[in-house]
Order: sequence, then structure tokens, then C-alpha cells
Amino acid sequence: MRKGLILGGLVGLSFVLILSFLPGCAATFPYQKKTVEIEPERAQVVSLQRAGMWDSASSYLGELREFLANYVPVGRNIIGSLRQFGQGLLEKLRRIGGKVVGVFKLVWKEDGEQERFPRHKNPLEIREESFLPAVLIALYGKIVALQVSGEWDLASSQLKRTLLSYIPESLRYIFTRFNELIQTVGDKLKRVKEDINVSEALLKQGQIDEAGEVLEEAWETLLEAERILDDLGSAVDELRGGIGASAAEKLREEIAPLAELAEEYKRKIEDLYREVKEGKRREATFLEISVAERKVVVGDSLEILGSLEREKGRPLAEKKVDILLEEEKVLEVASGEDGKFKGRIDFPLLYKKEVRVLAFFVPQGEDEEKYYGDISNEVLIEPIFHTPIIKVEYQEPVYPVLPFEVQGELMLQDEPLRDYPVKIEVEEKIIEVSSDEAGKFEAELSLPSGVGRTFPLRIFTPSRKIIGPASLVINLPISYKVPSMMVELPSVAAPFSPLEIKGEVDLEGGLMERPAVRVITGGENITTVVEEKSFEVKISIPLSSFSGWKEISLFLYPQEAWISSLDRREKVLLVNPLTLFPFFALLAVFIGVSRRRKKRIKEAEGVLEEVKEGLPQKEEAPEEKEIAKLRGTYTPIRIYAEALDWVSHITGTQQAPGHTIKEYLELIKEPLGQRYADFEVISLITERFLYRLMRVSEEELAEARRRLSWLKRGR
Amino acid sequence: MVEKRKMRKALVLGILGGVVAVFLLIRFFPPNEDFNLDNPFWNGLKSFREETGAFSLGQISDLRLVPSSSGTVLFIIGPWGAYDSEEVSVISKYLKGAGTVILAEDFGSGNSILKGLGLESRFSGHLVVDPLFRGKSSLLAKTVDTAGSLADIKDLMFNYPTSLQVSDYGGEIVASSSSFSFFDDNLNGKKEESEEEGPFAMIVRIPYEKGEIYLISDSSLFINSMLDEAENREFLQTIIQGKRLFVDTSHYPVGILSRLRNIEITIYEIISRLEVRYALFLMLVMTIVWLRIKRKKAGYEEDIEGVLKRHPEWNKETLKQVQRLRSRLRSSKAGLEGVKD
Repeated sequence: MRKGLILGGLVGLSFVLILSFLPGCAATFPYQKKTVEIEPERAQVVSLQRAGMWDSASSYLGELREFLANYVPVGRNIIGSLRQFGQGLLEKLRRIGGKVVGVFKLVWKEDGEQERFPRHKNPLEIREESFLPAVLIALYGKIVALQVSGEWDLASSQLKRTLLSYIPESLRYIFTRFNELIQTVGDKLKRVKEDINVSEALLKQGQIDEAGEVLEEAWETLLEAERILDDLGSAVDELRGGIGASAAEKLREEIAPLAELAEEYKRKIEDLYREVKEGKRREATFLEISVAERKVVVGDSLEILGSLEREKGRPLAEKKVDILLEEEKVLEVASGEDGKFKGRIDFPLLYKKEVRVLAFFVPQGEDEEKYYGDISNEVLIEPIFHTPIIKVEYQEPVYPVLPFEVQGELMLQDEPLRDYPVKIEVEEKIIEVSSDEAGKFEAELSLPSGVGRTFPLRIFTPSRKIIGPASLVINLPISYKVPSMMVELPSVAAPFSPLEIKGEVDLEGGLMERPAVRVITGGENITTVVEEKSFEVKISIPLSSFSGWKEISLFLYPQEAWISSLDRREKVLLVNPLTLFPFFALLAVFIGVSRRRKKRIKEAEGVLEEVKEGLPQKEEAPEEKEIAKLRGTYTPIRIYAEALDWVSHITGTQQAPGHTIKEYLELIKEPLGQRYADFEVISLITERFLYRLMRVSEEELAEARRRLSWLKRGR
Repeated sequence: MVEKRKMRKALVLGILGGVVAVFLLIRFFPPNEDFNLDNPFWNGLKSFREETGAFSLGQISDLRLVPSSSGTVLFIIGPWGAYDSEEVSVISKYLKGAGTVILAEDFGSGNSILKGLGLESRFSGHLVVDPLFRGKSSLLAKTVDTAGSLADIKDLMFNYPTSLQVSDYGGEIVASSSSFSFFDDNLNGKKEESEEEGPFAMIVRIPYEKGEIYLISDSSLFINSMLDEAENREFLQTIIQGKRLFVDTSHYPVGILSRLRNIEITIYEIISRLEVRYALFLMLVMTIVWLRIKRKKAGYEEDIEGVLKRHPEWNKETLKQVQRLRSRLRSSKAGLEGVKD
């Protein structure tokens, strides 16, 4: 038995093993992300040492030691080791299986069959790709190009992104430092460029001393940038060990334009400084404008006045000046002998709070060498217009699709706005109405179906000369009519007759146009249409249905968008005699068997009772003769059985099923002592009766009874 | 002979016992299929479920039972097998009711949904790799440019992703791969002339009636082994924003373990039926009684055989009769008690 169980266990285990080979069954038990592979880390340290990067190697080794000190490997305990071993074994077997399947696929691959990519792979099983610095170096090249073209901010954001790229941990620190240096040198060069621009502007405005000071600051910054460029070169040297000599040279080439840019700025500073020393400059110009009225009615015209001067308040005559309104050129005027100019523009229909007006002077031709250009002051104009007030009321409740009325009023300056167009937007449709003599308007609207619980209704008026546009959005609360559904169904159902579900559907204060009713129960899904407010559904119950509570869901779907749907859940007790039959049959068998057993016991009891009385009661039928025969035989056996009970109780030695009467006598001879003789007589009488098929006389029976009495009570 | 028979019996019983024990154990063994919400292994979505409290939809039509789509998100992650028109219409209705659908897909049947919804955008089916912006392999490509609602996310890590072809009006690319990425359809890890270069659209948001649909070009962004990579978890939180989540699990293949588990559940359901439960109980009682009687009978036979070995001259039939009498007497103990008096 034990062996069988062990074998069974082995079968179970092999079952689990087979399951493990199935695709998608990972060899790793619940997902553990943290793993450690020492060998690649050790190789990294060695390669750093070989490259002469002793500091990097040392710090890396320190980090590794710290990590290992806190790391408890899976295989430290026996279970862990076993699990590791098991997982490894399974994994190897699975891989071999995968290869075999792969070979089969390769052999039987049909022509033109599309290669299918896996959905994903376990990141722990994906082999780590070696670091290819060429792509990263190319990215640095792009960043430097952005810096050189003056796109400093873009270059800076691109530089931050480089750290999102894959860089081995051993090189990450050096690359981080490298990035910092590029960022710093970029910032410095940017400042130098800004200083150069400022000094140029100062020079144009004749502020020569100030320009000289700024140029000196720019020079200092440039020298700092050059020092950082040297550090950058050292960082490339340090990276040489990690990324290889050729890659390092490529990186050096990519960052070389920064040094060239620094050189260019150097020359520029020197040129400007020379100008400062020589005191060369152009004459500055001053442009100013004004308006007679700051408030202008839309659609009206506007006069602009202005003056153009050069240094020391001298007028600049006969020069072209551009007038701009809201960034758009609207007029070109020429300055007079006194440098003054004026012009009139048509004020557009702009319904804004403020409108900006300004002027430009751009020197042209010979003037480019003589004067700097100028931008005038900004003049803010306030357009005058009136905005109508829209008031709206609507008839509640509002249902989808069903028409409803909207009434409104247009007011302008506390007066009704007469005969003015009003537009109402319902989804993509626009309804146009007009206000009457009293400024009132009304419209009948209908909302689309499926609008949810609220609907944004937009009412607006277009602009017209002095009247500006106006709009109003109101969120209409959407209502739905709620129907009622009465369901009638039996409390008990059986498979032989279909389950009849009757129902009545009603809508208070309205009618429903043939709504649909869906009845779902178990696998059944029946949809019917309600005719004249009532519906009836018959569901046939399969003979194979089991008894028990059956849930029935009813859904009412009205066709009208303004009526909400409804659902009900009911229960019916299903009784299936067919499925219950085997149970009752079994029960009957069980009851029958137990009754028969009881009857047999009772029979035996009856026989014993009769034996006790010792009298045959009636004429025996042929089959009863056998019973009568047994009655006779029962007496010595009964005496023996009672004596046996008593002896086994006294001696503590039970008669085993395999013991003969004599064998048992031998067993209890000693423990029974003086009473053995009595039990021996009973035993011998019984044995003679049983095994030699001899009848026992009344005397012998009396003797046996006597001996039994002595045995139990003593002589 | 008897020993052999016994051994055979024990073996059969042992095997049966072993298989039944394993069969029962399977009920408690976690599922291991891709994207299973209870799968705790690397390819499952157990962490995703724990993080979001997502509900599984065994049938997409169950969405009809959701009272309001607004404030809910439906995740369709790596579906297998095309969606039929009825299923697509359920998704369409859900979107029209202001629901949000997240379709995370790469090489499966996601395009059937897009086609059914009347959208022009598609999953390209090309494998996107990135040799620079990546995890430990270029197959674990990252997105580095984000916009719109994902502007605060720096990078996301994918696992065997594809890309998106965006052709829908209003479609907004919210995450794209770097310019170093390329289609590596021959899986050689090298950029070849015929292979298209990035940047590629990786996540796109498309408004659809009152709702919106996010297309994610990788089905594995939220699996247990990827959720903690880069800012994938933050991304998940950004798109769900505390909304109620549903995951369509109607289009996943079922593995043998799950099949067995389902069979077990079905068996349990059948057994728990009233008539079957009590019938089984009765049968069990009857079998026990029958076995006991049989064992007793076999014991008597063995006893007689033993006696005959020691006393070959005795009559076997007589012994059987005696045995029968003895057993009857034992069973009528009560009768004997009465006789004593």
C-alpha cells in the first residue's frame, strides 16, 4: 500500500513537471526582480583597473562590496538551494524543448508565413546588450551643434535626456560628470554671447565705456569656459578606458565645435574691444507717437501723431515710419522737416478691451550706416462698442428629442434690442431667430438622443457695427420619464412545462411605442416586444437543468429616447424530477437495505426469544423447519457464546476469528484457573455439537447451563 | 497471488490518490497565462490589479451593465482574436457615453477594434527597438518625448513594442520614441537601409464622441515585471486618475492550468447542486457499508483457510456454517443480552 502511494505521488510530480514545460509557465516562482550576477560586475572592475582608471575601479568596487554585504543569496538555505537547483533544471529543460520546437518550426515553416514577434519577454531573461557608445556620442554631437547654433535651451533639454539612455553603471558617473561639464561650458558660452550682444547694443547707443566694461566681463567668462573645455578633454580621457580609444576620439571630435565657438567669441570680443578703443559709433534715433482720443468707436477713424528725432533733440526729416495696429502694419507716413508726422487710420471692428498701436523706424540705404533704428512707445486704445445682454428661460422638464420652448430677451443699454438676430446652437445645428419689437425671442428646440444628464445650450448674437457679439451658455438638466413594470411568474417551475413570465408595462401620463423586454436566465436570452402594455415570455427549461433557485433578469428598453430603461430581478424555484430521480432511487435503495438489515436482526432476536422460552409455538412449515433446526442448534452455541464473553472479560484474552474452540481452551487454561473445568465442559459440548454434527441432549444442555452458572458465580 | 493482487490494488489507489491530490492542488496554484489579473509571475497583471482595483470583464457585453461610462476606464490589454461587430458596438457605446478606453496592444488583434470603431489609426505591427534610449536591451525601448496629459512623465519603458500610425482627426501623440529608434523587423539589432527610423508615435490619444481612446503601442507596459520600470507606474496613475477600472479578459487564451481549474470549478458547481450533493453523500455511505461487509466476508474466508491449513481433515462447509452462525450471533448481541436472564 505504501509503495503504491509513493508511486502515486511520483505520478503527481510528473504531472506537475509536464505542466512546467508548457509555454508561458515560468520557471521562476513568484516574480522576484532583484538578482545579482557577480561575474560581469567583477569583469567591469578588472577592465577599469586595466584602463588605469584606478579611482573609478576603487569606488565601483566599494559600491559592489556594500551591495553584496546587504544581499542574501537565495541559495543560503537548503530550501533555497533546492529551489534554485529545481528552477535551473526546469529552465534548462524548457530551453532544450524550445529549441527542438524551433527546429521543427524552421523545417515546416510555410513559404510566405509572417514572422510573429513575441508579446514580451521576461526582462530577467533578456540578455544584457553591450554598451555601444557610438549612438550616444552621435547624440552629444547633435547637442553641441544646437549649442553652436545658439539654441541653448533646446540643447540643455536634450542633454538631460542623455541620462535616460542606457549607460552601464560603471560609466554612468563619468558620463554624468561629462554632462555637467557640457552644460556648464554651454552656460558660460551663452553668457559670453549675451555679453557680446549687450556690448554691441551699448556701442550703437554710444555708451562706449559701458560697452568696454561688459566686454571685459565677457572675456573673463570666456577664459572660464576655456578652462572647462580643458576639463571636458580630461573627462574624455577618463572615458577612454570604458568606451575604447576610437570612441573617445570620436567624442572628442564631436565636442570640438565648442572650442571653435569659444575661439570665434574670442575674436568677436577682440574686434568689439578694438571698436571701443577707436570710439566708433552710429547716431541713435528716438521715435514717439500719441493719439488725440484714447477711446474710439469701432468702425470710426483714428488720428495718430508722432515725432522722429536724433541725438540732442534734432529732428530727423523725410524718413519713413511704419504704424502698426495689433502687430499688423496699417499705415506708412513720412516725417516732415520738423521731424513730426501724422496720419489717420480706419479703426477696425475689433470688439476687444484694448488695442495696441505703435510705430517703427528702420533706417534704409545710406541711413543704415548713420542711424540706429527705433521702436516707439506703445499706445493703448479702448474701442467703444456695446454688448447686448441675453436672458433666457426654458420650459422644464427638458427631455431628449421631445420639443421644448426657449424664450429669451435681448437688452442693450437697458433698452430692448429690436429685430436683432439670435443664434441657438444645438450640437452641430444652429437655429436662427430674431428678436421682436420688445426685444423678445422664442424658439422650439429638440435635443438629440443620448445626451446624458445635462446639455450645454449656447445662445449667441453676432456683432453689428457698434454692437459687439454676445453669448450665453446654459446647462440644461435633462429629465427622463420613468416607466413601471409589473412581473408575474410562478414561484415553482419544472422542466416539463415552459416557464411563463407575464408582465405589464406602463408609463404614467404617456405611451410607449412597442418597447423591448429582454429576459436573461442562465444561458437563455430572450427579447420580446410589448404589445398593448403587456408582454409574455415562455422559457423552456432543459431537462438537464438542476433543481434550485433560478435567477431571472428582466430589462425594459423603450424606443423613445426620453424614457429611461428599467431592470428587474426575480427568482423561481426550479424542481426537476428527472435530476432528482437518481437521488430518490438511491435513497430508496438505502432505506431498503437498512430495513432488510433491521429485519434480519429482529428475526435473530425473535429466534433467541423463542429459544429462551424453549417452546415451539406452532406447526412448522417446510422452510420453517430449517429455522427450527437452527433453534435447536442455537442453545449450546448461545451458552458457549455467553461463557466466551465472560471468560474473555475475566482473562483479557479474546477469541480470535482463526482460533478453534480447543485452541482457545489452551490459551485461557492458565489464566482461568479453577474455573477452567466448567468452561472446558461447555466448550466440549459445543465442539461436539458444531464439528461432529451431533445433537445435544437435554441433560447435556442442563449440564452446560449449570457449568455456565458456576463459571459466572462460583460453585 | 494474493500479495500481487494487493500490490496492484495499492498501486492503482496510489496513482488515483496522487492525481486527485495534484488536481486539487491546481486549484490553489496561481495562473501563469499572459496578462492574467491573478498571475503573480513576471507576465501577469496581479500588481496592476492590486494597484488599481480593476474589475475583470469575462464578456465585453458586461459593459452594458455599467450604469454610466463617465468616470470609468476600460483596459483592453494585448487581446487575442478579432472582436466581432457586437463587441465593437459595445465598446463604441461605452465611448459615446464619455468612457475612456485604453488599448494597449502590439502584435495582437487590436486593429480589429480600431477598424470596427471607424478609426483610421493603426498599430503598425513593426517591432520598434532603440539602441540608445532603452533598458538593458534595445528591445526594452523607452519613450523620451511626452506631451499633453503625459507632459510630466519623463520616460516609459516598453517590452517588444510596435508603433502607431496616426491618421485620425484630433489624434494627439502624447508619447513618442527617440530619433534613434528604428523598425527591426529582422531582429538583427542593426539599423538597415530598408528599416524605417524614428521617432515613432508610441502613445496616442484620440477623442471619440464624448469619450476618448488611448492607444499604447505595447501590451506589456503594465505587467508585473514592467510596472516598476522607468515611470510606467506613474503613467498608469496619470491615466486612471482614481477612476473605476474594468479590464476586458474575454480575449485571452486559456492555458492548461486555468482550464483544469475551470473544470474543477465546474465540477464543484455541479456537485453543489442539491440532488447531486445528497446523492453523492448517500452513495458514499452505501459504499462504506458495502466495503465493510466485503472486508468482513474476506476476513472470514481467510480465517477458514487458516483453520483448514492447521486441520485439513475438517469439513470446509461446516466451518462456513459455523462462521455464519457466529457472525449472526455477534450481530444479535441485544438478543443475547435478553437470553442471559
